[in-house]
Amino acid sequence: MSLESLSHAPRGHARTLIHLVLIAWAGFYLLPLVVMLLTSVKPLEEIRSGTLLSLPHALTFEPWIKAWSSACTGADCRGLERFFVNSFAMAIPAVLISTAIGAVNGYALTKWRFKGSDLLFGLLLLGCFIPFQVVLLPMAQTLGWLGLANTIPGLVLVHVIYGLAFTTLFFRNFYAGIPDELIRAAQLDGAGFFTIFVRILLPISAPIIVVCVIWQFTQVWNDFLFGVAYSGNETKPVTVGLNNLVNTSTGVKEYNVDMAAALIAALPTLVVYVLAGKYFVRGLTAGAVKG
Amino acid sequence: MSALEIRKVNKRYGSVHVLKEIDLSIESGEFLILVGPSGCGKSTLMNAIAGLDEISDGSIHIGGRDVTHVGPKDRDIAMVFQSYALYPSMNVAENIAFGLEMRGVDKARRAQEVARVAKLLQIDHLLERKPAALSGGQRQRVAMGRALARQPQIYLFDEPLSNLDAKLRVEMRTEIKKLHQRLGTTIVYVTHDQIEAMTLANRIAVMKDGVLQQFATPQQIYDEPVNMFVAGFMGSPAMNFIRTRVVRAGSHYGVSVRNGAGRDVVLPLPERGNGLSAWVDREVVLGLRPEQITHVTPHRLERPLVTELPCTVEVAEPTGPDTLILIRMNDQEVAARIEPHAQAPVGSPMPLAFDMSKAVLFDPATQQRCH
Ligand SMILES: Nc1ncnc2c1ncn2[C@@H]1O[C@H](COP(=O)(O)OP(=O)(O)OP(=O)(O)O)[C@@H](O)[C@H]1O
Ligand SMILES: [Mg+2]
Repeated sequence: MSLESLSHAPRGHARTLIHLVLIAWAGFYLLPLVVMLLTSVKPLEEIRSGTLLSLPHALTFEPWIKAWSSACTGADCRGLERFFVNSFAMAIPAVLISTAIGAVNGYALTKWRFKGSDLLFGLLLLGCFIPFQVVLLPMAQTLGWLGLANTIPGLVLVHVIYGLAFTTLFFRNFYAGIPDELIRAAQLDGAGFFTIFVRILLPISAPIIVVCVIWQFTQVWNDFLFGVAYSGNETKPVTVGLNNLVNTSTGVKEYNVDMAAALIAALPTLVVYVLAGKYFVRGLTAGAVKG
Repeated sequence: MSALEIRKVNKRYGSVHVLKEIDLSIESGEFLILVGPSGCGKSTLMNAIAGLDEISDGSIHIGGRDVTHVGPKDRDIAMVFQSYALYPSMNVAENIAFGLEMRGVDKARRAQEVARVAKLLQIDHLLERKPAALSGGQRQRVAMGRALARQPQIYLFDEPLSNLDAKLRVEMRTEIKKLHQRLGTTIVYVTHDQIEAMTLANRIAVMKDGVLQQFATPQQIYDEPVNMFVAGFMGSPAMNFIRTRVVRAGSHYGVSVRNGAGRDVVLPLPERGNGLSAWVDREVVLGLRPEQITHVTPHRLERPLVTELPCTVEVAEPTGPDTLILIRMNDQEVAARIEPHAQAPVGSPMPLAFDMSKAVLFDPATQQRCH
């Protein structure tokens, strides 16, 4: 046997082993999703009689339609649709605004250092570690004063404020890797604060914008606590809607509808990850821009 | 009227005193080179001139105007950065035109300027490319083009050639020299490379630890360094420093040296009209450049202040056009520069001619020049 194959043989085995372990692990994690999917397309009788993992005999999309448009939360039987719409109405502005402000913050904190800018950043960083519960009451009071209690703009505001610490951190770290000379050159060329930001930095910020948007969207969309605390009857986000729908106990428990509703509520974040996931990883590891 | 005048400029970062009482002034059209070891404050001074960093005290005047508190964009300066700092998202043409656009130049004029500059720097074929798709030398030219598109009063170049390979460096050096001759603009230029400094400069400012050591023409810096630092910093191979004593030889003065053979000899010193009598019998440092110690030719010995001494070749370093040999004097290693054909084999004796006409003396205590 040659030396080369000797050194390669164990590596080949090791690789196969690693793959097997990883596949098993992935399968384990995917199992709940598979069960949910299977359950959501089975009629109720089949769920009661069959096992969790058995394939549906009579495929039905009835539970999905019901979850979307006619499932009951309490006495209100309009389905998840309105919560879903609320979540979008909340998440889109919250994500865009917090990302935009975070970008400007990160830019100012790295490229226009001022006295105390490091301290400010330190305090902002602290914001990442404040537990939700701590701000719950003061925030409710603030929203009340602002007249934004139980409204979607109120929820947007909460998420923007809470998200700022993270978005600023993302952009600051990204811009810290970009040479200061780029900004100095633009200054000598006659560009000001916002021109430099818009013309020089934003065009190369795509990777970190993707990271920030995915992160923020997931955070805002999946949030339950703020949603349940600060929303009114007509402004509940989908997480709260789902909870109420599943907890509504009138007659039989419709597992298939519950599963379909849960999947619908999770769909947008899944879609975002599938579409932009690879940019997420790329953006997190993106370094300085050379040249 | 001076194009640039720097008066008693100080710069401190907290307790770190980076620039100390810098005083400089150059005329319009001059090429000023800043040299000095890493960290001596060259970039800091450039940034101060450009207005990118506020100075702690002192004042800066450009074209007679006090710009100490004027922002960078209103100082009428263009700068080429060490890292080029090309805008990554813009192509070459946009990079060059950006400064014009910011100054409200209309589109047609911008295109005209870009074409002119691109032709001057021979980057016409690259105009559509992004900086990432350029080689180092091409980026360097684009960075230069960005500065040249405008016609400011002063160009600042911070080590523009330091990232290039040796060959390209020499080429670009010639290009810059030609450019300066053609455009006749005022340039301040930082470099670590002394050949660059000697070939490009009208005047050189040598800095060390934030202090301006000497500000003079290249030849003055080379021939009449004010202290041991400047003498040792400029010139390659470096000037020999030989510890010796001043002696009186009749009506003249000389320094006493002892070559490898252990014989004391007096090398005559040139007459410079300053009283050396105070230094007689005191220790000094003799500064003698390697090219002033060379192989013996009859006509060379006829010149005044040239003395022949027997020496021993200890090490030989051929460089091609000439060979550097190390000999021993006063128990110190001394480099001499000779023509390759004249070299005696290593370890064997070889007579050398010492030309003292450009010899300088330094005070060993203060390191300042004393003769
Ligand atoms: N923001 C700062 N805070 C504190 N010290 C600084 C700061 N910027 C520069 N310095 C110090 O000032 C000194 C001069 O720096 P500068 O960049 O001007 O050196 P340089 O001569 O350009 O060196 P090089 O040849 O390596 O480019 C250095 O000792 C550096 O550490
Ligand atoms: Mg520097």
